[in-house]
Amino acid sequence: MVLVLALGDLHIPHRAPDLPPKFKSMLVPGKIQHILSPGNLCIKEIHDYLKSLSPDVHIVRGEYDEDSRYPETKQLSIGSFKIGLCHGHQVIPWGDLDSLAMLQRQLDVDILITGHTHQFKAYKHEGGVIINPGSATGAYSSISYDVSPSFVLMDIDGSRVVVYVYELLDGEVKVDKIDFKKPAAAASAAAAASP
Amino acid sequence: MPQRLPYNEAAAAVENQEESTSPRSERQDERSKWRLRGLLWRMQLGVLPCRCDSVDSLRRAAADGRRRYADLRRRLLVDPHLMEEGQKPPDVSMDNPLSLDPDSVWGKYFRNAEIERVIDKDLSRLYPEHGSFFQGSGCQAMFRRILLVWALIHPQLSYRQGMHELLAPLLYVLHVDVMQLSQIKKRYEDLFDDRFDEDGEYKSSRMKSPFDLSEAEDSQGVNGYQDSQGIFEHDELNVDLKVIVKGSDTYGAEGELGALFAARFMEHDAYCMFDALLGGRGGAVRMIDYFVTSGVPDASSALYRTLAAADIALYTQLVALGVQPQYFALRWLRLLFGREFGLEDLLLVWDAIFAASNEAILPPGDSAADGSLSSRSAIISAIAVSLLLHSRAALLAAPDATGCLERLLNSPHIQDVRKFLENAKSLQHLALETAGTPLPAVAKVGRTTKSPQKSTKSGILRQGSTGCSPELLKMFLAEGYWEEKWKTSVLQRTSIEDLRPASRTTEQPKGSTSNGPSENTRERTETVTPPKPSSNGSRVQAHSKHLDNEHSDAKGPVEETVKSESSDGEEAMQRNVGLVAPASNAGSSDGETPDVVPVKDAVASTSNAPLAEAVPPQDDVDKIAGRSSEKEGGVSNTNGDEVVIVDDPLGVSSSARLRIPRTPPRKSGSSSEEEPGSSTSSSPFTALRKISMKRDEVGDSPRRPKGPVALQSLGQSMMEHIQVLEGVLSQKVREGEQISKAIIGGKGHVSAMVALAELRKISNALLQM
Repeated sequence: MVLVLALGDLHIPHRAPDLPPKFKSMLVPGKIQHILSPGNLCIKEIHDYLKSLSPDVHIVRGEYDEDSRYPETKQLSIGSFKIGLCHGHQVIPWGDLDSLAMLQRQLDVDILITGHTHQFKAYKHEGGVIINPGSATGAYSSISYDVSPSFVLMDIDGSRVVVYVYELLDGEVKVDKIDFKKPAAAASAAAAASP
Repeated sequence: MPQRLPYNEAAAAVENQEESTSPRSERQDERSKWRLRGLLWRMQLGVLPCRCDSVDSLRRAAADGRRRYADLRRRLLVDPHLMEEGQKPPDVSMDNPLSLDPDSVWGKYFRNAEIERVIDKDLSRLYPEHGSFFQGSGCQAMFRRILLVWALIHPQLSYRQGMHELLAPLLYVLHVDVMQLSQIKKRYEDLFDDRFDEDGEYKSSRMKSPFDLSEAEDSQGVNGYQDSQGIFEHDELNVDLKVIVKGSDTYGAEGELGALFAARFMEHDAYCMFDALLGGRGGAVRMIDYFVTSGVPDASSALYRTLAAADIALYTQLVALGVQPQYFALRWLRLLFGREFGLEDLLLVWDAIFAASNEAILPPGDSAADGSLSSRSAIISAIAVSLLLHSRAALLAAPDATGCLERLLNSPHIQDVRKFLENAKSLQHLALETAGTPLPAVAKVGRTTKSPQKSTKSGILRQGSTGCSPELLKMFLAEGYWEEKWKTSVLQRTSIEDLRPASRTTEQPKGSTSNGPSENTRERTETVTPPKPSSNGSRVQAHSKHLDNEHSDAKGPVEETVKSESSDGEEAMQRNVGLVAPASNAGSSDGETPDVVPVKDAVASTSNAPLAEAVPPQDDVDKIAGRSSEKEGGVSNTNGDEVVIVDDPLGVSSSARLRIPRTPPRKSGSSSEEEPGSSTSSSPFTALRKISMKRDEVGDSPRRPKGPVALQSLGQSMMEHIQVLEGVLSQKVREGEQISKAIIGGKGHVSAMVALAELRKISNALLQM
C-alpha cells in the first residue's frame, strides 16, 4: 500500500505565499512514500519542504522553476504502475486531452501527471489515467484567476489505484475518490512484452 | 482449583517426555503419557480449566479463547482497502488517507503502523540463534499480529520492549506440541484415523478406533481412568493419550475450533496464553505489573527480602555497595529470566514457575496484603535469589556496584538447570515467609530472620556497635591492624588467658574502649600474615596432621582474630578468610593462594588432599585456629586460628594443637566465654594479645600512625587481599579442579564466601573510619 502525493503549480513566492493551512495540517511526514510534482514550485525552499514530507521526491521542470536542473519529463514505476511526469506547458494546446494522450503514449506510462492549467482534471483514457492535480496553493494561472487549491493523493496497491482528490472549496476541504484498476490484459500484455 | 505440581515430579515428567519415543510407550495398549507443555502451560496459566471432567470442557475453553482472539483481530487490524459488504460507503471526507479524523480507518491504520514499527524493531532481533523458527516470515507475522492486538487492547500500556520475548517461548511450546502431535499421530495412526473417511468401505476388521481406546486401555487394567475425578490426577503431569486423541477429534466439541492442538490456531492459543501471562487471570503475579513503573520495585524488594533470609552476607554486601535490585531485577522479571537461560533451559524454568499456583496468598505477618504474593511470585523470587547466589563469589569480590551489576547482567551460563531449579525450590518457602517482613536494615543492628548471628553481621558495618558480637567486631576491626602491627613490631606473646578475655570484649574502632582481648585479637591478626609466608614448609606437616585430625570439624581456619564462640561455621570461615587474605597477600604466590582456598573450603570437606595442600598457607591460620580452639575447649573459632598463626613466627610448633576451629554444627554451645582449658604455648596468645592491645592503643601509641589513616590503609590492603582471595576462589571453581570441587562444595564454599563477605565489610568499615 503505497501512498503517492501529486501536487504542483505552487508558484511560491511569486503568486502565493504558502500552502493553505488546512492542506499543510494534513500533510504530515511519515504517511506518504512518494511525492510527484509537475513543477513550478518555484523555489528551493519548497523543494526542501517536500523532502521533509517524504524521502522520495520527483520534480519536473515548470517554466517558472528557478532550479534549471529539473528534467522536462520523468518516468518511474510504483507497484505495477508506470507513472509519467511532465509539467504540461510543452503540450499544446495546454490541457488538451488528445495531446496529453499523445504524450502518454510517447512516455509509455499508465498514469500521466501534468499541471500548468491550475485546474484539477482526471481522465480515464485508453487504459490509462491522466491526472492534473491543479494548483496546491490556488495560484492564478495564465488563463484564469479563479483557481481553488487542490492536490491529489494516490493509493497504489498492486494493480489497483485509488485516487483521492483534495480540494479546498469555500474554506473546506473536500475529498473525492476515484478507483482505477489496471486492466489485467494490459498488465499481462505489458508483462509479456517486457523482456 | 489450580494444581500444585511439585517440581520434582515435573523434573521426572520432563525426563519421561524425553523418552516419549522409547519402547516404554511402544505398546499401544499401555497407558501412554505425553508431556505436552503447551497444554499444561495453558492449564497452569488459566487459559484452559485445570480441573476438568472431560475433554469437552477443555475444547470448549480453547474454542472460546480462539474465537475471542479472532474477533479482536478482525476488529482491530484494519485494512483500509477492505470494505465489508453491506457496509455503507464510507464517507470519503473522513476516510481518506490524510484524514485527521482520529476515528477514520486510515487513522487507525497509521496508528497501528506506528506500533508495528516498534514491534518490528524487536522482532528482528528475536532469538536469532533459533532463527529457523523465530525469524521465519510466517512466525514473525504471527508475532506481529499477536503483539499488535494486545497493544491495541491495552492502549495505556501499549507495547513495551521485552513482551516479544515473553511471547516467544509460548509460541515455541505450542509449535513443539503440534509437532509432537504429528508424531503421536504417526505412531498411533489407528487411533486417529477416521475409518469412514477412506475411499473404501467401513473396515470392520479394524481393531482400534478412537472409541475403542478406552476399552483397550481398560482391558489392560489401566487404572485411574474411571475413578479419577479429573483427567489430570493430582500429580500427573503427562497428558493421557486418550485426552490427546479425543482432543484432536474433528467431531468433538466445537469441531475443529476445539481441537486442542491445532497448527491453524497456534496464533490464537498463543495470544490467549500471552494475555493470561500478562494479565494474571486474577492471580497474584501479573507480568503487566513488571512493565509498569511501580511493579518492579515491589518485586525487587521481595527479592531482597528473600535474599536477606537466605544469605545475609550477600545481602549486606549488595546493599552496602548500593546495588539497587531494580537494575538487574528489571530484566529478570520482565522477561521472566528469558535472557538468563537458553531457550530449552528457559522452558524448564518456566515449567517450575508455572507449576506454582498463582492464587493470591495473604502474606504472613500484618503487612498490608497487596495481593501480590502467591506461590508463583515466591518461586520467581526464589529463582532470582538463586541466580544471585550463583554469582556469589564474584559479587562478594566486586569492588563496587558497577562490578556487581556487570557480573549479574553477564552471568555465565548455568550448566545444570535442574539442580539450579531444585535449589531455587528450596528457597521458595523463604520467599513466602518473608513476604510481609520489612527489609533487614544494613548498617545498623536490625532484626533479621535468622540467628542473632546474622544480626550482628549486619551490625558490623557500624563499628563499635554494642549489639555486635564481640568476636565479629574484633574480627573485622582487628584485621586492619595485622600488617600494621606486624610491621611495627614483633609482638611478645602474652598468656593465652590474656588473649582469651580480650577476644571477648567488643572493640571500639578507635580503640577507645578496647582492652586486652581486642588487642589480643589484633595481635593475632597482625601476626598472621607475616608468619604465614615464612614457615610454610615446616608447618605443612604439622598442619596437615592437625588438619587431618580436624577433618570432622573441618572448618577452614580463619585468619580472623575475632573470636565468636557463638559463631557458626560461617564466622569461622570469615575469620579464616580474613586471615588467609592477608596471608595470601603476604605470601602473594599463586601457589599459596590456591592452598588457601582449599583450606578455607575444607571447612566442610573431609578430604585430606586439599587440606594438606592448603596447609602451607594456612599454617598460621590453622595454627592459631587450632590453638584458640584448643584453648576454648574445642569451640571452633577464629581465636584459635589466630593463635596458631601467631605461633609460627615465634617458632612455636603448634602442630599438636592445630585444630580446625569449627564446624557448622558447632553452634553457640561453646560460647566465647568458654575458657580453653588447655594452654598450649603461651607465646601465640601473648602475641595475639599484644596485637589487640596495640590496637587499643591506636590513638596512644606514638609508633602508630593516625588511627583512622592506619585503619583505612589497612582496610584498603585487606580489601585487596579479599579480592585476591575471591578471585582465586572463583578461579578455582571455574577451573573445576577435582580437588577444588570437593573442597569448594556447598557448605565450605558458602562459608568461604560468607567469610569473605565479612572481611569485605570489615575493610569497608575500616575505610570509613
